[in-house]
This record gives sequence, structure tokens and C-alpha cells, in this order.
Amino acid sequence: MDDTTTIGKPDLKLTIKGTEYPMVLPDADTLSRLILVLGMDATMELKMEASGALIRACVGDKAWTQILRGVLKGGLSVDDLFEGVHGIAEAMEGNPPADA
Amino acid sequence: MLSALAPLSRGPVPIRIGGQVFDLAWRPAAEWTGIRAEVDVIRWLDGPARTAIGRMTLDGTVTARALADAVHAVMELVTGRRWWEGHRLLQISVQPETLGHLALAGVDPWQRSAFEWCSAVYALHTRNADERERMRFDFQLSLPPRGYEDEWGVEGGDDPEAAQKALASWMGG
Repeated sequence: MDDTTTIGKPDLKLTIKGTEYPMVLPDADTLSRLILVLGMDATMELKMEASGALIRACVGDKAWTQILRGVLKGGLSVDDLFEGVHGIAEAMEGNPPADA
Repeated sequence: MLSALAPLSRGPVPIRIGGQVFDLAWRPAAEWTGIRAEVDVIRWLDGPARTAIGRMTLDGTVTARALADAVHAVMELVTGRRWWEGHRLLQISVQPETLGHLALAGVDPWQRSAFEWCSAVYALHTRNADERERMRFDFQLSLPPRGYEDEWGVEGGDDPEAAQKALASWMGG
């Protein structure tokens, strides 16, 4: 597992297209709900919304705004966001939230 | 609605989530043996239902636990048992020895309901068992998974004395 994305460590970071964002772990219910939505084969619109909400919950509003700007300017694609979600999911494996 | 509860039913099963009721089409036992997580059952619903449930989940109207509870209720309808008992019997059914016996008996999981399949697995594991072995099997089957301990015995008719007796039997006492 990538050391930069290990949940539970103080230096926890999420990497999206080479940029590192400090990451915090949202509460277990938020994580569970968003991951459920991603796993239920919902519409692409819902999937994107859940992905955004998950990343935002992990990196905070300020970093999320920065990421959104990247998307609007074309520097970041939807696939980059999904890659970020994948990184979060990988980080969660074996590192469940404390209140889970 | 009542037909969905019948052991021999091939009708849709209602799943109640966030105050709405969705119909889950009948699925053969073979498909139920593949269930690993609650979301696997949600994926069987049609697109509009998944979208509605996804929206409620995303908005926080429905919690992850509520979603899991709804799926568990469906599992209890289709297996006729507490959800973890049904899930365990489904898992046991695909173990080579058990599956071998069922196959030799000509029980086709693609034709049978989860209710019938679980009943066959239970019958297979208890038909030649003496009272003590049967109690041990029942006890192991009835133990709720982590996080659901409080549900042990609810609607199941278990009483502390019977549980203690079963435990003693299981422990070899």
C-alpha cells in the first residue's frame, strides 16, 4: 500500500494526478453511505456525485475547491477523480475508521 | 404480498427502503449463494430503483445500517430464516461436500428458491444427526454475527435455558 494514502496516519495524503492533498477520515456512516452508492451500479451522475462527496469528505472544502477548479480548467478529468476514489478505497482496506 | 412469504413462491419480494417499497424479482438459489455484501442485493434492483436508493443514501435520508437492515429483511423473506442463518446455509451449500450431496440428490440451485435450497441444506446436515449433533448445528447456525448480538433470539423462540443447554452440548458438556 502507498504510504501517502494510509488512513489513520498523521501524514495521510490523497494523491490525484500527482498532487497530494492532506486527507482526513470522515465518520464511518458517511464513508459507508458513499461507498455503498459507488457500489450499487447507480447512474453516472450519482456515481460522480458520490465520488465528489467522498473526496470532499476526505480532503476538506478548501482542497475540494482546488480540485474542482482543476476539473473546470480541464487539467483534471472525471477519470482522475475516480482514480482518487480508488486511492481512498485502497487506503481504507485494512484501515477501517475507528468508529466503524 | 403474502405469496412472497410462501416457501414455494417464485414471486417478487418487497424491499422497503427510506419509506419506499421496491420489488426485487425472484432469483434462483444459485444467485443467492453469490451474495457477499448487502450491496450485491441492491444491484439486482432495476435502474430506477437503484437510482432512487442511491439518491436517498447520498442525501443521508437512508443510513448504511438502514440499507443493510432492509436487505437483511429480504434475506429473511427469501430464506425463511434469520438472515445470518440463511446466509450461512447458502455459504455451506457451496462447500464441495455439501454441494456434492445436493448434486447427487438432483437438487438444482438454478431451479430452486433460496428457501427450498436452504431447507435442503439444513435437512442434509441434520437428517442423520442425533439430538446433540443437531443442537450443535442449530446453535452454530443461530449465533448472530458481530454487531447483531442483540438480535439473537428475537422471533426465533430461543430461550436462555435452551441456549445454555445447546451451549453445554456444543462444548461437549
